[in-house]
Amino acid sequence: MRRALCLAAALGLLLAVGRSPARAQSLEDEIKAAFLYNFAKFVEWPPDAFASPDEPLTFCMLGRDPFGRVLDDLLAGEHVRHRRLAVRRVERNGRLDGCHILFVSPTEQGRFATLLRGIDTQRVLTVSDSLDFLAAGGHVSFFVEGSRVRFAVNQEACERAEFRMSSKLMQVARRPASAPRQ
Amino acid sequence: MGRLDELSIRRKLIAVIALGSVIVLLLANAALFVWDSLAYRRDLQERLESVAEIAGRNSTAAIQFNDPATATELLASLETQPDVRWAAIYDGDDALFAGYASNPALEPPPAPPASSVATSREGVAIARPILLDGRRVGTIAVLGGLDGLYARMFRRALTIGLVLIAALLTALLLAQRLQRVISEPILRLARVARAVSAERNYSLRAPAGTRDEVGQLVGSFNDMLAQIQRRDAALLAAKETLEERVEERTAQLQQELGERHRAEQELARRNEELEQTNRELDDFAYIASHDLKEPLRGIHNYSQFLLEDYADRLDEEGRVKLRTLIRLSRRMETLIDSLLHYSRLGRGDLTFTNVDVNELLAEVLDLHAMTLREKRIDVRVPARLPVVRADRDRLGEVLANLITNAVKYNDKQEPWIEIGTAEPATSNGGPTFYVRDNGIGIQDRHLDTVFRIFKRLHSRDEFGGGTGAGLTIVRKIIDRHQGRVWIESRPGEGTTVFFSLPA
Repeated sequence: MRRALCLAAALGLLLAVGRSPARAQSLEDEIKAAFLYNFAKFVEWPPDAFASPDEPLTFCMLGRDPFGRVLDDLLAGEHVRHRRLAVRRVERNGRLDGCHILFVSPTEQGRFATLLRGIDTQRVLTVSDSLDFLAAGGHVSFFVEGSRVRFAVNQEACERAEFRMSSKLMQVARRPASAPRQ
Repeated sequence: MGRLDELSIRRKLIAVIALGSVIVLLLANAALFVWDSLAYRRDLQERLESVAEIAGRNSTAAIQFNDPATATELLASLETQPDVRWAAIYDGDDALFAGYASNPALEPPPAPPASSVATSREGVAIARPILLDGRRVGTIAVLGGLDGLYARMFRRALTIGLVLIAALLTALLLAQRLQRVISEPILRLARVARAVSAERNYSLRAPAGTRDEVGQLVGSFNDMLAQIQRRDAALLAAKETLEERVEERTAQLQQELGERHRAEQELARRNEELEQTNRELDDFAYIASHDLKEPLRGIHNYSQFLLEDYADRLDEEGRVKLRTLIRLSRRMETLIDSLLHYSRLGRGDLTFTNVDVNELLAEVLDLHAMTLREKRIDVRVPARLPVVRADRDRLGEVLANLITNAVKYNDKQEPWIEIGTAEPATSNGGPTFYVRDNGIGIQDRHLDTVFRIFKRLHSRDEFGGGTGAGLTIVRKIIDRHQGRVWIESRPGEGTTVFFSLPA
């Protein structure tokens, strides 16, 4: 727990949390929000993934958004590779074009495969909170190991994608001990 | 330094060369040590920085996703870097995030300032920020040990020690050979100089060889020797010439001396012969005149007896002849007396006293007073006469003879005689007297002969007659006084007889 606090501090989250009225939101979600942000730093999208040079790197939240204002505060005013960051919340069956990172809420657990079929998974980094998501063809999934938030990666899907995931990111990715082989 | 002074040039050179090479080697190696040490540190720093850079870059995801295990794994790969003693990654808040130590005893220190370099005895510690997308997400620090440097230095010191020994030996060997180039000419020069001063042999020369300052020194030294040699030779030659000349002159002088000696001996011999002859002549004259007198007296006496006792028995012619015989015998007696007197003058010693010539002259004039009065002779003595050292009787005889002659040979109406002193004929001459008259004078050609005994210029009966021995006697007396007699005369006007006495 202490570690997580340290990390939060390192990411400048502590201030945000301190200021945030959503104090009740779990620390786990805050860390996941930070991880989302961090993914943007270690993934490179092909140039045609953006309509224009000043189009922001867009984080899309599908289903119930567990982060609320935390993610917005985190990304506010930040840049990754000189590109602004934006958050968009998408309703079920809503439009997903223009998304670069898509977080699929656990609320969509039953329909991961259908959902993923409707998405250009080669251009959008898909992240969820369930290991089933990886099995359905998603890219990254958070999981908790002990007291730590970890993430696992669907290596095959990532290698197929047009965006490039940094090897450093791959180094940090873990295979959950209890997870079924994908 | 005193000890160094005593060393020969050879040893000094060797010492200088060996010491110089050792010092150069040590200095060069000291500089190399320092440079090497600095270079090693710089190199180490660079290596550490690149290691830190790579590790830092690779650890960004681990930091971002709070994964110290991955970061520790990353750092563990530094094992392959033997210089790295420890490495540490600190998170954005400088808390230790992951660490690595080559030795379990080591513990990474608290986070140093990002981007720093610290050198200590332990080694070089560098710290670099870990950047992600231009933002510092952490710090990585690495300490590189200096073991490699120390090992290298130890190896080098060992090598240098060996090289130093080898270099020293080589330098000594080289110095042994090299110093000859410098010291040998100097030592040769010193040897020659010693030989020159010991043997005084200036023909020696130091062998030239080099063309450096030593060579110049040798050249100058040789020039100097050459000069000394020339001067020495000149001196010797001058000395020899001088000796030769002295010998020559000595020989010449000896020869001259010998000749003079011989001449003197010859002269002495001649003189002795002459004196002998003179003595014999004097003896002969004395004996002859003395012995002749007796029979002559007999002849005279018997002629007298004949004239007195037998005059009446002789005719007039016989008596005249007898008287002539008496007269001739009387004349002969006078002549013999004169001869006897003359010969006596050559014999016997003179008695020198201080003679006042004024007194002496007065006595002589007294003796001849009658004749002078009779002939009315004016005797003049214009000045006082000096006192001289002479035989008084003989000097009186000289004056008497000269006055007699002056009185005798005068044909003038007013005859006079002057007696005085004249300037000496020579500068060191003694008192000189003269007796002058206004008589008949003497022809020049007779001036030499008048001194001959019995030489008469006139017939026996002219001018009162005489034996003709007067001037001869005068000269004999003055000769025996070591004086001189000479005559100046004008025929018909007068005669002056000079005589000088020694000073």
